Amino acid sequence: MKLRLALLLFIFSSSAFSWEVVKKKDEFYLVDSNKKSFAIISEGGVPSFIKVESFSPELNRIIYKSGVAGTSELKEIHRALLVTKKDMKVLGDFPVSYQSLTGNEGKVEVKWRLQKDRVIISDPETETTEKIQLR
Amino acid sequence: MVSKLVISALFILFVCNAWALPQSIVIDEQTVLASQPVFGREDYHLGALNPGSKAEIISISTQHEHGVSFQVRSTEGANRGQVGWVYLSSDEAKRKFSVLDEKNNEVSLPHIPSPVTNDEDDSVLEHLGTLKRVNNPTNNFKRAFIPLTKSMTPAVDGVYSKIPELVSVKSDKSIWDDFASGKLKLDEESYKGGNIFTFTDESGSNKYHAAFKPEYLGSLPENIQEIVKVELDCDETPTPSVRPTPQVQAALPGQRNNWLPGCDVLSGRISENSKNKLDQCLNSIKQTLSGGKRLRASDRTKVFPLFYSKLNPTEQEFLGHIVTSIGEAGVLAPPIEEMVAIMMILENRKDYAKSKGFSNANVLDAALQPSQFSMYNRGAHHWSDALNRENSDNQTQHALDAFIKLKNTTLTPTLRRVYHYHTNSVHPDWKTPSKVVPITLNGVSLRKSGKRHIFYRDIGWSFRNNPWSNK
Repeated sequence: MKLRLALLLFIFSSSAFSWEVVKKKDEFYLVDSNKKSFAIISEGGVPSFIKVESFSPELNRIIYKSGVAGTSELKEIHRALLVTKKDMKVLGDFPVSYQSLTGNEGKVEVKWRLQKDRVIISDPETETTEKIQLR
Repeated sequence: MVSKLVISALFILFVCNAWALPQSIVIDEQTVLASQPVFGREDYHLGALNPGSKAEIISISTQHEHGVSFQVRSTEGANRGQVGWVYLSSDEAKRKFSVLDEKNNEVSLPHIPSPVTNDEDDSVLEHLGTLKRVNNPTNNFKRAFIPLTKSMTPAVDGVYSKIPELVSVKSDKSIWDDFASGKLKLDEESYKGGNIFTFTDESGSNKYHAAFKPEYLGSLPENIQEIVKVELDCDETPTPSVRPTPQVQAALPGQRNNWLPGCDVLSGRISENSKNKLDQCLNSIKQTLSGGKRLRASDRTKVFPLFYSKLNPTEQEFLGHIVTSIGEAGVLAPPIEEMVAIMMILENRKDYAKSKGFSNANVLDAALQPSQFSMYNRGAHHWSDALNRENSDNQTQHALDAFIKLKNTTLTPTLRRVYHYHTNSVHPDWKTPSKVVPITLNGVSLRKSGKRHIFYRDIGWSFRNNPWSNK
C-alpha cells in the first residue's frame, strides 16, 4: 500500500514538474515532457507553471501564474488553459484568480461553472462573463 | 432518365461546391502565425494559435509552390482580434488546421503529397507580391481555391482579400524599386545593422522591411548607394535577426467626417495653436459620455463600452491619453513630462500590439487592458475623477499640454521599448535594476526622488483586447 502511494506521488510530482515555460520571440509557451506546446499569456514578467487539475470528466485546467500586473495596485494573476483530456484541444485561456499584492482586497477568485454543454466563467475583476460552448 | 439523374447530381455537386467556400479555420495542432505569408523564418513569427482556436479567413495567398496560406483573424480567446498568416499544405499529413465553410462544416480539400522546405519559403519571400509564382505549376490543390479567390478582391498579385487594406505584402525587389523611384523613404533611425533596411511610405504609417541584394545597388541614387555600401561594409555577416511586421493601417470606420465638436483638430498636425480646439474636443467627449452627470467608479461597465461606441478611433486615442495621464500621473505634474511619459507607454504598447498582428489596436485598447493600469481596476475611481474634472482644472490643462508635447516629441529607440512602470511604493517580482530606464524627454528628466514612477524596458507582457471594445 505504502509503495503504491509512493509510486502515485512520484507519478504526480514528475508530471507536475514536467512542464516548463519557454520564451520564443517575446511569446511564452507551456511545454510538456512530450514537447506538446501551448501559447500562454504574460500579464507582466515571465509566467510559470502551477498545476494540472481535473475540471470535469472530459476537461482539464492547466493552471499557470501569468504574471504580476499593475502600476500602483499590483495583482498576481493566475490563468488556466481549459483543455480536453482526450486530445488536448484548448477551449480557451481564462483567468483563475487575482491576488492583490498591495491593497486590502486579498484574493479574488474567478468563478468557473460547468453546465450541461457549456462552461461559464464569471470574472469579478472585469465584471464580465464568458460562455464556452463544449464541442 | 439516368442521364437526367447524373446531370441533377452534377448540378447539386456544383452548387454544393460553390457554397462550400472556406470561411474559417479551426486549429488541430499548434500553428505558427506569421506577419507575412512566409513560415520558414522565425523573424516573421507573431506567435502561435493553440489547438482548438478558431479564426476567420480574411485573405488567401496563392504564391506557394504546393500549398496556400491564409491571412486570418482570431475570433475567440486570448488572441481575439489578432491578424496573421497561416500555412495550409497540399499534403494532408502536414496540415495543422481544418478549413470550415459558413455552416462550420469541414471543407474537403484535395490531398497532394509534397515536401515543404524553408527553401520554398525563401523563394516566396523573394517573389512576394509579384506574378512569378502565381501561374507557376498550378495543381489541383491550388485550383480548389479558385472560387475563394474569385469571391475576394485582388490585393496584390497572387493575394486576394476580403479586406485588401490589411494586406501589405511586397517583394524585397519591389520595395527597393519603390525606394529608388521615391515612393518610399529610408528610415535611417530604425536601422540596426545587417542587410535588412526599413522604409516608410509618405504618410509614415506603413513600414516595409527589405533585404538588400547587390543587384539592387545600380538602381539607387548615388548618395544612398554610399550609405548602403558603408552600412554593409560595417557588417560582414548580414544575417537578419529582426524583421518587424509592416505597420498595417486598418480601416477605421467613422474616422473621417464624424467628429465631435472640436475633435477634427485631431486629424491634423497638433501644435500649441491646437489647444483651444483640443479643449473643446475634450468637453464634447465628456458631454457625450456623461450627459452632464457626474460619473462614478461603479459606472465602469456602462461607461467603458461607450468609449468605443460613442467615439471614433482617433477620439478614443485622445481620451485614452488624457484620462490615463491624469489618473496615473496628474499629481506628479509639473513637469508635464511626467504625463508625457505615461502617454509614451501607451503609444509603445499600441505599437507593440500592432507589431503582433492586432492591426487596429489603439491607445485606449492599451489603457483598458485589464489590471495593467491600476486606475481602471474595479473599484478604482481615478478614471471617473479624471472625466469629472472641469477642463480649467490644473491637471486637465497639464494633460492637454502633455498631449501637445507628445505629438512633438521624438522618442529614441530605447524609449520605444519601455512598456512598464510602477510607483516607487510597490515591488513587482519582475523588478530588475538592469532594466530600469531613466526617462528624459525634451531635455527634462523625470523625478528621481520622493513619490515617483520607475520605468522599465523589455519586461515580458502580452497584449490582448479588453472585454469592452468588442474587437
